[in-house]
Amino acid sequence: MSTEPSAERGPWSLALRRFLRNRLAVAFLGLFVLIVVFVMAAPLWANHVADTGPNEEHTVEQITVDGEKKDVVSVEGKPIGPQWFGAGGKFFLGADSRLGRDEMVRLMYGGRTSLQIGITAALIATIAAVILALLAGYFRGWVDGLIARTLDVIWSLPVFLIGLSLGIALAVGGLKLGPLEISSGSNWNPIFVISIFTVPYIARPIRGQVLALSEKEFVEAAVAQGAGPVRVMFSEILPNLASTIIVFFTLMIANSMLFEAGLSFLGAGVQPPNSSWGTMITVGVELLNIQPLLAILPGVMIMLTVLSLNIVGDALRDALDPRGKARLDASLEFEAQGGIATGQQGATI
Amino acid sequence: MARFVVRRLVAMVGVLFAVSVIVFVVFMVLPKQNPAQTLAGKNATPVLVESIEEEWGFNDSLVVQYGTMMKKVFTGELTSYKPRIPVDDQIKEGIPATFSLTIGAAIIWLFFGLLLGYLSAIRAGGWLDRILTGVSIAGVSIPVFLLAPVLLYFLTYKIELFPNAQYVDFTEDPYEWARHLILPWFTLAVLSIGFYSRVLRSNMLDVMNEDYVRTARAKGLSERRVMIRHVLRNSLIPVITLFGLDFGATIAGTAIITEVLYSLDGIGLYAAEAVRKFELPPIMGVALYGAFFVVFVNALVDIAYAYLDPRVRLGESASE
Repeated sequence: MSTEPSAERGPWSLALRRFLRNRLAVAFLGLFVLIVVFVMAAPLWANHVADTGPNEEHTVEQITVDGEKKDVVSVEGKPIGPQWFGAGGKFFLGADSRLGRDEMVRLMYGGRTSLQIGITAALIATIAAVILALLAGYFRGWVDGLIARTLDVIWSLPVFLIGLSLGIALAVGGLKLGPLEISSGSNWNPIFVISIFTVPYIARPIRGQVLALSEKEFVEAAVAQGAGPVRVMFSEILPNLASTIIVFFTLMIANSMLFEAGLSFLGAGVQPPNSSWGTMITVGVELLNIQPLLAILPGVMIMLTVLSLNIVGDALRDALDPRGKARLDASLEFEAQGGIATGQQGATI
Repeated sequence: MARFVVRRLVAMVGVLFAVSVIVFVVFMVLPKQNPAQTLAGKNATPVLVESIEEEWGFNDSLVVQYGTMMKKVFTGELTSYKPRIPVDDQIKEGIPATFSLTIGAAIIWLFFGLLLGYLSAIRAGGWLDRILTGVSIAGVSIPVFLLAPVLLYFLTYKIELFPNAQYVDFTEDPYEWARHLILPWFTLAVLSIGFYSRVLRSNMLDVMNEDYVRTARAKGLSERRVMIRHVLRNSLIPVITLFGLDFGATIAGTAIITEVLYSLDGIGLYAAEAVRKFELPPIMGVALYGAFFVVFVNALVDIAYAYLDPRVRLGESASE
């Protein structure tokens, strides 16, 4: 039957077909793309519709809604509610606080920040983790001992609490680590914090795979042909890790975004006046009883983004690793503590 | 067993030491500006910075500085600087709220997690299982910083069913204590309820295929007895370990966010307020105490686990 064409196809196109067959995952991939388009459109909306920047304050201004003048922020300090297209798209979702900033513009720019931080942190953590795992799994001995112990220690830390400490220390004092220097208000601070503390979640499972792979015949063959350690690690072992890396990277973006939201919500992540979905919840909660959308919308955006990434990540795992060896532990582990408080579940399941 | 306990305790001491060094590095070494300035917070006066520099001895070697920090934290000398308030006292004041929140939430999540997981496993594939799976996936997907505002808005502001937080001491009024904590408990528990029910379900489905379950059925035991005495009991061990670890992680993670969202006067809210004011000594204290507590709980759980399950103490996982 359909076995014949599959014999001609490569593993990647087979995986793609398996993925496309998963309708739920495809739908959520579509949702994720929509979210990305939404946040990428931030400058367009800001310049052409709302006519304001994300940090621009309109405290004492008035806007004309259907021919009627309204205060952006009322005398009692209450920000204007959603105007939809009443004012030609200005204050589409209302103003954010007594500073009178445009909530829609902030939601779009905030999403950009959240996604940028999530993706960059996940990318850095994944690259660092893969390099560490390759070194540990290939050289073994004391190299492995050192790397594996260090990862174990980070793993057993209450990561969010320590991350919070580092986040605030950097927000106050900036970072200086050898040639690496970050000023105190920069978004690179949360990226640094998140990537450091998420490395073990990727490095530990991948190290296990490297250990197993380096016993395989093709590695022996490469060594016999005179390949050096760098070539064996990067052109023999690395390609075999590709599917795992893709899955972990996807799940790690979701995890990092939750971590960022937690840090920013508490004030140890993105620093004002910049917005991210996490900081917007902090601002919104203050006005929860009069303008509930201010706190709830960014939360919904975080949830939709994280949910779609998790579902796509799971589907990728199913498609790339159909025999599903390590399915349960990793996916549950990430979802488990909403990412941020992830403890040691993976070690014990 | 004794060997395992000793090994595990030695490992614990190692991690505790590593934690303290990491906290030291985080506050004293990594920040670009001088640590006295960092400790004093943003916009500190030069006089304050100078006095902090003297007090902490930042001209000493790093080893001495580390000693100074540890001594300050664990002898209760650590103070926040604007105004000067001992950190220890503040943490002690927060303990009742934090533990009421986390222990209550833990009881709720364990109870409902196990109940839903059990129901879902014995009806695996049926409509109840499908509904419960849907519920648990939804529960796992909602972050606390969405769930709390939604609950607060609808149940507190709209229909005024629950009071707007603040912590009431149990000794003062047990009824009000519980009424104020129901929403925070639920918020903190929802995620774990979803997670635990899925874990228990999959564990039980694995155990159901074991030979001894077939033997139990063949002996003529009632289905209920087979499920509870044989399947459930053997599926519980991993869940209990998970619980010990998650409890620590929750105290040091989502509980902080939950306290802030419901303005519960606990350690998490204290830390969050310090973050907002850019005051570092309280965060240093909370981080060290919190991390020590979590590492300690994890070690206890491992030892209890080894006691319950001989395979662990004999197996190769002893180094963990």
